[in-house]
Amino acid sequence: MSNEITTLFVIAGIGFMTAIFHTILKQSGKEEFAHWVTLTGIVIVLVSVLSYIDDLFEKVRNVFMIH
Amino acid sequence: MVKVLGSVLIVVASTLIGFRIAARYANRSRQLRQFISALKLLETEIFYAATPLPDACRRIAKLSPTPVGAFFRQVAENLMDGQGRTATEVWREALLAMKDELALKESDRSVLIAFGQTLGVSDREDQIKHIHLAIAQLSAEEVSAREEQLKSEKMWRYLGALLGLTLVILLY
Repeated sequence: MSNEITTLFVIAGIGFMTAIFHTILKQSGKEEFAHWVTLTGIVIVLVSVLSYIDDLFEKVRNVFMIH
Repeated sequence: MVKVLGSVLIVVASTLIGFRIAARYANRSRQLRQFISALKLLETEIFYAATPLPDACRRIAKLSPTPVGAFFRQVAENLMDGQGRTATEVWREALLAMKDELALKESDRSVLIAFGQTLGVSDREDQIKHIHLAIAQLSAEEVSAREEQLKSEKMWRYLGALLGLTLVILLY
């Protein structure tokens, strides 16, 4: 349980940071860089929730007996 | 406990790195201004006082603040060390030797090296013209340096701390 909560907070933190990064980079006129930072944030979050998504799909399969 | 301590260290370190990078932008435009005023002093020394180059450089070194003053001191010393090098060689060597102390970009350095190639090879009037050219080019560099400073200095100050925080969140 606590592990999942930690993941949740990590995702929230990364989202927060990415938003601030985007704003600061945009303010100083480096917009193409800002988009790359946003993309990197999305990728990092996706990688960190990958195992949970896998878990979810596995459970759905088990519920509907698809193997 | 150790985790918290490490996180604090990471944040502090990256904040300091951010401030250092930000300081480089401020240093660059400040040192360009110092070089411009040093060249103006050199012009005065050559045109009105007809001072020999080593003496002129030593006098400029006394009047200029640290990195630029140290540069001119090195030029003066190397000119007087009796190895028979030309002013161009000495100027270029001093620029390369002070690469870490001077926060100049490659374009600034090439302007100064090009000026060094005219140093001590012509008569007074010609030398003055070359000094004026170098001052004009350095002024253009200084304008662009100040623009860059306005944009990037603040950004790097925030960015250092934020990168540290992100790293801590990722590693936690």
